[in-house]
Amino acid sequence: MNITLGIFAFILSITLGITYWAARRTRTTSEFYAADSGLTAAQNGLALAGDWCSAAAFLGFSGLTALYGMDGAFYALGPLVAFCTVLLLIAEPLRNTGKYTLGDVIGHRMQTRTALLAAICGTIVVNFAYLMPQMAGAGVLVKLLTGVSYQSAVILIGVAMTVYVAFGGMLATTWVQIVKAVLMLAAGAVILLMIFALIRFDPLTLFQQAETRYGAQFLLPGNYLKNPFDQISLGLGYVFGLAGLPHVMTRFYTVPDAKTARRSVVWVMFLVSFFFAGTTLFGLAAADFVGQDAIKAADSGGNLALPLLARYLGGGAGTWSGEVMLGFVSAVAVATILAVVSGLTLSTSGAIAHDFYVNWIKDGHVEERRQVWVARVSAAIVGVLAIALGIFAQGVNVAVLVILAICVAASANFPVLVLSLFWRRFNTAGVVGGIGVGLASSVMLALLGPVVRGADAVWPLVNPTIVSMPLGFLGAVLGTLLAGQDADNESRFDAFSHRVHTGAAAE
Amino acid sequence: MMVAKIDSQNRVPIEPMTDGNAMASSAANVEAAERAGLPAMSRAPSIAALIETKIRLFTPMIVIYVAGYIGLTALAAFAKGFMALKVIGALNVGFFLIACNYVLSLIIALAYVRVANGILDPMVRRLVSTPFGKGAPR
Repeated sequence: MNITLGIFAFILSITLGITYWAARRTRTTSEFYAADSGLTAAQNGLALAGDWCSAAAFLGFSGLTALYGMDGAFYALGPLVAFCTVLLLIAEPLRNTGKYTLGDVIGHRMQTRTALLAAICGTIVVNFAYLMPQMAGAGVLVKLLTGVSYQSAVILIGVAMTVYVAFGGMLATTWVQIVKAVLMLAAGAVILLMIFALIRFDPLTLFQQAETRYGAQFLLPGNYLKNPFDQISLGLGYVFGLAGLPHVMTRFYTVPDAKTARRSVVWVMFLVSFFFAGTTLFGLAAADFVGQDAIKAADSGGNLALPLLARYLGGGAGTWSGEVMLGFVSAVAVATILAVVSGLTLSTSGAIAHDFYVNWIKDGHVEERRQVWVARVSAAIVGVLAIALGIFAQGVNVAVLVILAICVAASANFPVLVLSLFWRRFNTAGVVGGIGVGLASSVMLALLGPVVRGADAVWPLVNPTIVSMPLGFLGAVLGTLLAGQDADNESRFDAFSHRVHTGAAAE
Repeated sequence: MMVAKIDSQNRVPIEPMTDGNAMASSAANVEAAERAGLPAMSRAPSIAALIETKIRLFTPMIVIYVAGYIGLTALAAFAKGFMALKVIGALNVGFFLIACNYVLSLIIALAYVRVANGILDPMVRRLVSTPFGKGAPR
């Protein structure tokens, strides 16, 4: 296990070196929040891959496939399809209209403080719902992988992410995500090649062995998600939730124009499709070669399927090469968490410092140097909060938060963003209605569901998106219609729409 | 009502377009387009035409990928027997369709880029070179 710590310490020192380099290039707000919009499509595509593939993707998808067969493959497919929504509906309009945050876009469209505040709420709720389980997961995982205690692991991850963001801003965050993405893809490629060598480049062997060993039922859907509507609800949550995640939106401000934003999505889609499809094969291979019993014995959730598979491929337990493979994959898993929480911290500090403090409280009248200072302090506050929440979350069931993050993103942020960009009549009351109803229905249904109440669940689905997303849209439309016509708002839409579609007059 | 100053830093404040200007410019551009012998669709570079083109091109793409993915999850939920049918060896319809869905997503992405580069970008370029565009007096 010390090999893991050694490799991770090496990765950590590289990222801290990057942060030192980035900190010297982070002086203005544009540099802090958006890396001065100077990234290339390939850089942003890699960073998006680093941002979006959490440890749940890196370890979880293979684990689910190893233990539950096809349901794990569905978990891996959704996050890729989600990029179609991002590409077709929001990537370029976001680049064209926004500056640093979701609040910028909504505030810019509506020009009201109320709408800005609603967007801030949507951002902060989703980000913390996402951040807290990541921290808790980091604690559990690092403990599992390295033997360091839960608290120390949470503090280590929290301090590292705070240092990246507070000192190096978007530039450091981006490069931490790029390093992680490259390591993750390299680990995936190596494992895939080793599996292929083992099965003589015939993937059908993996299916055949799995069926022989675990029966045909293993390769069918419904082993993990028992309620059929949960399959569909989860799918909806993924496909529209990604487009409502503020920390993913932020990535589109780091490129110079809409065309680069477009190309960066294509980059990430090709990179992660290879990786996500790979996790399905990794899962099957782990079930075939390592065995479900050994995977469950190491971790009942299946999170160690991939590290164990890596050790098997490297030569098995006790061998030098096997332990190095295990250590490498485990260290990449920890780096994965670091990259994701850094993106979340940066996005949250943008909502607090840029949206709330500068634009909401101070009405935009804050001197540049002070803005950057406030942003750094906000990042530190978010870091401390994240550590506190992570430690508090030990032993608490945080699974509901994972569902909530993606569900609120799909049910509150996504409707409001899309209607803001494309619907002429949409107004402040609609923003409040959409965020309010989407948020409230997601939270209520999740709290009444089986994840929180177990067998006493009042509401049957684990993931409420199938109901809460239509409700969010309904709230947005009803709010808009109830508020009546607003001629000023609609005439402003012409100029806004011009910017959405052409990018002209955007900074 | 207080108005949030989002554009405090370095942005030009947005002014609503006036109909008179819009008409004048689009008329001028129709003439220019006709002289240049451009296809009919792109004759009048207006935002409305751009949006109309986007809706016409993107609606089928959105329907295809959403229906493809949600349809597949619906099959997983309600048609397990169909998903269990064997395609080759132990590979069943379910895994085969999942693989197809990966390919479909990438095809949609490439189709979008092709349309955006080939049809939309030229429209946008003509649009922003009208008097509303960057650098022109507004």
